[in-house]
Amino acid sequence: CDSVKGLEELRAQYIKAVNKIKCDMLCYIRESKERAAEMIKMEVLRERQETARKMRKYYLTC
Amino acid sequence: PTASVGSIAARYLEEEELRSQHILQCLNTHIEELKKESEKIVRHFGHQE
Repeated sequence: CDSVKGLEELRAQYIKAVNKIKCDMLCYIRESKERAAEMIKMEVLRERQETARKMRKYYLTC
Repeated sequence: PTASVGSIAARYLEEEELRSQHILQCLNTHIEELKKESEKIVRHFGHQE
């Protein structure tokens, strides 16, 4: 009966560790995605402003 | 603009490298904790039998 208790404790410990690893990985992946999305957003915005600037310049000169 | 895209990607990957090192440390900590705790349990229940 004691060995069953020990096994149960080991099982609980194992599940706890795996859950922690899963949580950390999910967090890491989510942050990576968010960072990539933010980077793309900023670049598109920058490019759009650049295009607008060129257009203004173009129409003002002709 | 093409050159800046490359440098932006490079900077992203540089930061990503640091982040991946950090997550690796976290995972190692969890594994070490599991090792220690399971060893305690094994020792505890090994003594009784």
